[in-house]
Amino acid sequence: MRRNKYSLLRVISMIAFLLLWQAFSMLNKRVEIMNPNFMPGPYDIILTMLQYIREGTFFSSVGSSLQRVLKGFFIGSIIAMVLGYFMAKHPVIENILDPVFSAVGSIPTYAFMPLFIIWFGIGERTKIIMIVYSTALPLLTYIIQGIKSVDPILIRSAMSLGANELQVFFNVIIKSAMPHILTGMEVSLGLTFSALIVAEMMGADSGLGYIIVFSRNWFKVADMFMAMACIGILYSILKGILTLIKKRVLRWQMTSFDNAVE
Amino acid sequence: MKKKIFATILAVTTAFSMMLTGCGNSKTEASDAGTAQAESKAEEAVTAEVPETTDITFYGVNDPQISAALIMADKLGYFEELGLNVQLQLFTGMDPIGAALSSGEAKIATSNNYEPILWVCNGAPIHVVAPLCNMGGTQAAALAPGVEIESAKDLENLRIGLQAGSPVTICFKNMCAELGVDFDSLNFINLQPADQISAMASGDIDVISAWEPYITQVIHDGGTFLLSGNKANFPELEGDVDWFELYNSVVVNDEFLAENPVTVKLLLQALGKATDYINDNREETVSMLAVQFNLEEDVLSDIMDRNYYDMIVDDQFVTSTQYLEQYLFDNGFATKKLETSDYINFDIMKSELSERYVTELF
Repeated sequence: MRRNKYSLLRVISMIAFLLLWQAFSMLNKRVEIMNPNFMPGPYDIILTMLQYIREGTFFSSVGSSLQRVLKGFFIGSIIAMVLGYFMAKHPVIENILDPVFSAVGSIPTYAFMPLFIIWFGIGERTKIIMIVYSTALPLLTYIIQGIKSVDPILIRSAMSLGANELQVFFNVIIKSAMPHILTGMEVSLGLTFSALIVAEMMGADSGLGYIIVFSRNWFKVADMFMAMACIGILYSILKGILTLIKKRVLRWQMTSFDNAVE
Repeated sequence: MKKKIFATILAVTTAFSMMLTGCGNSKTEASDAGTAQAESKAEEAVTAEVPETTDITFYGVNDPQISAALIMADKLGYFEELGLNVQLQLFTGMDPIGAALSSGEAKIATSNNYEPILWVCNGAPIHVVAPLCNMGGTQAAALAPGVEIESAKDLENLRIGLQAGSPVTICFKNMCAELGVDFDSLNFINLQPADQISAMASGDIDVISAWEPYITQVIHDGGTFLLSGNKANFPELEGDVDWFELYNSVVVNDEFLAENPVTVKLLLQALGKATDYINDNREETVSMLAVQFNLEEDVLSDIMDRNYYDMIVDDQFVTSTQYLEQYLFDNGFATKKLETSDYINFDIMKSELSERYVTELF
């Protein structure tokens, strides 16, 4: 019941935000608090979207970006999980890799663009690599923390019952570390989309990031807003899916907490 | 003996006194003349134009096309001479300038002459008031080192780096029309100019299409100049062409212009003086600007040789701007059709700097 109430609250919040935005945009067109061209409302954005649909470029752009995000995010998550396991399990590996990752991880993705082009070329592979890089490093921290926080008694129990290392990894460690992993994935998802914009500046001829950069060059503010709104919607959808997965997988955790609090 | 000593002393004293009196007199004369001069200057100051505003932030791009005259005027003290305290706000690209002008934060800036059209279409309260430099020669393309073509048609088989939406596209379109190349079959790869250099290094593109300093950098690294807005280097066509004119110009906020006409005129005067200096003292200019732009002097010299630094308002400037406006509208980049007077205001050039105003078209 409480969950339904919160879901309704989220929907109402979003609707209220959109209505306020539209109201402000309409007011701005009348009194010009700021140049109305630089503050399009949701209605203007929908009109721009319809224009792109008519031109036949909207769905291909969304599709291109979504494909890149999903590939990069999925591959980045796998890499982070494997790397995170070995770093958490072997202090030597962690102490060798962690300083390097910490230093490199602080460098913005955009700064790597010319190097990525030289190292990997300008094809689709480079865009995915860029997104993988932006996804994996932040997620790694959460995974290492999650794995380290697994109760050693659970591991010993499983091993004493005859589980091999692989079984311990999948049935004990991953499941125990899942709260951290899923939280890390939620955080990384936002960075994945940031990397998408940068990646689509390299040799892309379609995509939401491409639209943003192209529109910026020609000062087409409504188009920029449209692409940004689409990125926001895509992100919300993917985050929503992650949240659903989290609720399902961590049902035991959610239920306990909910029952503990009146 | 005593009389002689006394006489000598008296003579010396008298002579010394006379000398002092003479100095005093000449000082008096000098101070009289100085007073007259000062009074004359004061009169001039009274009758001379006094800028309405003396503290100005002048926006520009840190490159030799857009802001050479601006930077030189600052370095040579031409603004100060006219009683203006100008702070330069230089960026690496045009984007922040458009935003600053559109929001009203920036009152005056240097810019190319096509983006103001887009800004005006978006309601920015600005006008172009003067040209500064014809930089059509720096909107160019070059072949990567080792790449050769036998005709313009060979471009259809090459990978051409080009920032999507950049004005160099116009050069290619007009080149294709003249040399019988199918523009739609050209393989353009969307890359920022700096990334085109990287892509060229990794062998991912064969042609770079950008502006300076990237083109000259590639040429100095062994690449071959291919085309620009006013030059062609194809086997079947070499020499001067008329494919694209792009100017650097001074853009002013309308309210600022209306309230500060004298200030704007003085700013343009300083820029004109700097422009003349650039043309008459190229070596010295290159020497000073090379440090500013962090470029080697020979590279900067080549770049500046591709530009025509001039504040003349002539038919070429007007027609090229009108061509750009039509192109932007026809291709959907400009959201509405503009009259030339919507984005150009030459009143100050016409009235106050008429020696540089020679157009008949506007």
